[in-house]
Amino acid sequence: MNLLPLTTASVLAWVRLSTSGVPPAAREARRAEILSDVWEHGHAARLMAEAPNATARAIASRCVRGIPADVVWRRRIAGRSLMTAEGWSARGAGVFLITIAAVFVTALTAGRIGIGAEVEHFRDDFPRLAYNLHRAGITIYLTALLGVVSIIAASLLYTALRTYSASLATASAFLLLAAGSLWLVEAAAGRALYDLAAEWRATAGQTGDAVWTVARAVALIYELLAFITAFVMLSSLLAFGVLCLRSAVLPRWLGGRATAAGTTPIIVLALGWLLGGYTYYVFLTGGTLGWS
Amino acid sequence: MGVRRKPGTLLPLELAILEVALDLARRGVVHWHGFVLARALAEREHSRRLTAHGTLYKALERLEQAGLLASEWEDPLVAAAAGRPRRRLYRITAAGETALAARSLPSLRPNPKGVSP
Repeated sequence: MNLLPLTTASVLAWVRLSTSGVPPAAREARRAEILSDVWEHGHAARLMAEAPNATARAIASRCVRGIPADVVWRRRIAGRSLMTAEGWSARGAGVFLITIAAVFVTALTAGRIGIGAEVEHFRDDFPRLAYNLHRAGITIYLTALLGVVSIIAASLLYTALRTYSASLATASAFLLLAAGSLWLVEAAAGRALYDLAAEWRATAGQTGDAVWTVARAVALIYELLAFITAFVMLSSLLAFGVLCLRSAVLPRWLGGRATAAGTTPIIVLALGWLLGGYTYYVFLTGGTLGWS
Repeated sequence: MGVRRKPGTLLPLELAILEVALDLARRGVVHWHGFVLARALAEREHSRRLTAHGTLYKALERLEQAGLLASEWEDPLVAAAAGRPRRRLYRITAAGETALAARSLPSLRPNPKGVSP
């Protein structure tokens, strides 16, 4: 997989974000200069027949190592202009990026535990979980991390945007806070499931019905929590998108993307639920599709 | 974060940039852009890692503000004809050469801590 286009886009997105809110002349100069640098880097690497992923790593490394200098530069250049409309836009963009990253990571990791509480799914999924505990362990830690990140993002969102719409900022931040808290609970449920699966595995499945029954109950809670969390998280994105669209100070492109990012999965989830298509919602709820 | 220094001093990276700029000028490359500089700096240090974007362009900006470097944007038509983004072309100034010789910013007191590479 060629990571160079994605890396280039990410670096340019970072430059766009880190230069938001600074005076236009300095902003445009910095953006154009990094664009030129990244292009020249890629071009030189192609001429030397360097592997695209090696170039991608080098460009990403240059971007990441320069972040402290970017922040210092930004603070010096932007100064009081951070209090302007563009400064608010930058904060909004920052909150959005954190939120969307959290959703993205969730979507990638949610299927990892891959437990379905329905009898026919659970019969296959629980033993599979017991023999893939390391994967479940990673998911649990990521889920807890997402919980913490979402709670931080919620406080940032509220602090940065309440001036523009107290009700929408409050609603959006509250939903994000709720999602973060639910993620923490979900991590705890995942941990309980992990322990039960480890116990079941240690006794080679001879633990009797008690462990099996408790595990299935926990799986039911886990699955339900995952579904609710995803819904709450997406609703938060939707509220944030509406806030962006209704606030003249926030960029409309942010609003459009946040609204789309929040709405589309909700529609898919709802359709899947209504049509009885289990496969539609397992992507975000940690159902069995993660293993198929 | 950044290295603290007293006013009037040059950081090791800034000195290195001026040295490379002077070296390039002596080899006939009077005007150069950021990526060329990053590569020349890496070659000078025998390193495979190029200077980070943020670090490099912050240093270039400071040197330009101090009058040690000058820059101009390439003609858009030239860039378009070459099928690439416009380059910002830098060159070392006479003041830059003087500062390099003195190892400090002109008209300001030198600080040995700031110039030690």
